[in-house]
Amino acid sequence: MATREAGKKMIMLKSPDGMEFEVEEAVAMESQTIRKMIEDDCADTAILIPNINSKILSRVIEYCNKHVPTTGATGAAASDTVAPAALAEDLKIWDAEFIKVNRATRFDLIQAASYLNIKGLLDLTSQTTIDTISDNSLEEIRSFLSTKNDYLPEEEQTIRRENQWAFQ
Amino acid sequence: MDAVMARRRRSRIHATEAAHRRRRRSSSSAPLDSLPDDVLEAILLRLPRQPSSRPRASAVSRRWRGIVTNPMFHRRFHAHHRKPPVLGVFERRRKFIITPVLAAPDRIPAERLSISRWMTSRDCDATGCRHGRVLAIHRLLPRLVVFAPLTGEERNLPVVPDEFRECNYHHGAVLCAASGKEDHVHGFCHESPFQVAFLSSHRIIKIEQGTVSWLRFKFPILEIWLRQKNWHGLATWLQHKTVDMHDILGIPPRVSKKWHQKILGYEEDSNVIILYVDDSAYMLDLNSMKSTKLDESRLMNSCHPFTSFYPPDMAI
Repeated sequence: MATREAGKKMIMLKSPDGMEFEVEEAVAMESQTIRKMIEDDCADTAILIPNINSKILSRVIEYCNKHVPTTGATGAAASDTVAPAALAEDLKIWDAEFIKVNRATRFDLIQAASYLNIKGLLDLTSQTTIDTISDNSLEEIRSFLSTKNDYLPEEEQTIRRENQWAFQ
Repeated sequence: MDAVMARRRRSRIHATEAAHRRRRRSSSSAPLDSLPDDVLEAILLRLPRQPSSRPRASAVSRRWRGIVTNPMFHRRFHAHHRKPPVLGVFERRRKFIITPVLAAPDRIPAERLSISRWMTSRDCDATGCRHGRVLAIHRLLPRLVVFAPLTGEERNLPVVPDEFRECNYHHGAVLCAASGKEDHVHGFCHESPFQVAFLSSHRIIKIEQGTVSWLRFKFPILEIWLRQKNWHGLATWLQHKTVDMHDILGIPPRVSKKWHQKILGYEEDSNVIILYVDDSAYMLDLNSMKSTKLDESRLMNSCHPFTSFYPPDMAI
């Protein structure tokens, strides 16, 4: 139910496992998917967020809460007192701590960020995943990401041969 | 009785924790393969812009190859990274070559780069590289040559304007004709129409969006001047930055010996310059002020940094 608390419009987000989260509308609108729902007047009652369990949804809300002041309407007031560069640096440190999660949680966060269309969170989670594999061999990449090699050995050899320089 | 209840409660708690652990274990081994294609694509868009990253990713699995070789993915990849990396410098040694500036595995071998046959003539000289293309002038014919080393595409423009023939020194540039279109991203210009522009004046550079700069290099000092308008709307040159290149280039100060020094080249999108000091060339990133020493025994000829994403349609 959309309610008002201390002058701020609140939105109720529900996870499929039955948990409800009351968040400020500005925080929820960090998600472009939710923003569209609100703008299209589809968000009068609680919004059910499919496929994102309460544990992940609470982390996503935590992220949006932290990031809303720099991009939302209250951003101007915040940056009056703190230099934007210091604010950005603070967010970077916070992000680095936030993303210290296991691989499964990170994949869940990527999926949530993609569905909810939260660019900053998608950037953070995806980039972290890529950074973990950037200097690794193909075998290590497959093992780190538990992704299956479905090539026949000779197919893989052909692909490697096509761009041999890239595998040196 | 209470003790039994407490034990049962405890065992229930243990059972719940065990189930939780099982769930965690099973989800923590949840493979990347369970992610939908659009989510995997979002991850792979963040692969480094270096040329080896997509050929390597395409060898991970068929699914990865399907994503990273899709033309739509290429457009998004270039839009995400915006600026293509500097792959090498186009210069005349004994003949024209692209000397790589990246280390393995991002060093594209010379045989993958095609240089126009017109460049074998001593009368043909390169004037610039932009948007994956090289522009050269054959002074005798006279003829303009535009070619894309990564795709082998080549175009000749036999008609040269009269005013161009009279100039002794020229600067030319390939301009991407798709500039200004909202959905166009530079670096993916191989498929776009292009225009050629000529200047017969000295080169000025763009250091920040919308600002014109001028560089003066007298080792060890690099001066960066900016063209700015004052309150009265009059444009003046302001000294923006003075950089001591000793530390940046890692060259110890020497006073007795007279050194050769020159700015050999400049690349606008990446904002890098090629400097020549003593007997070596250095690529200097003007944003980060970090330098990379290029290989030695270089001539003091002008060179042109060549930037491009590694083209998707070239045998990935």
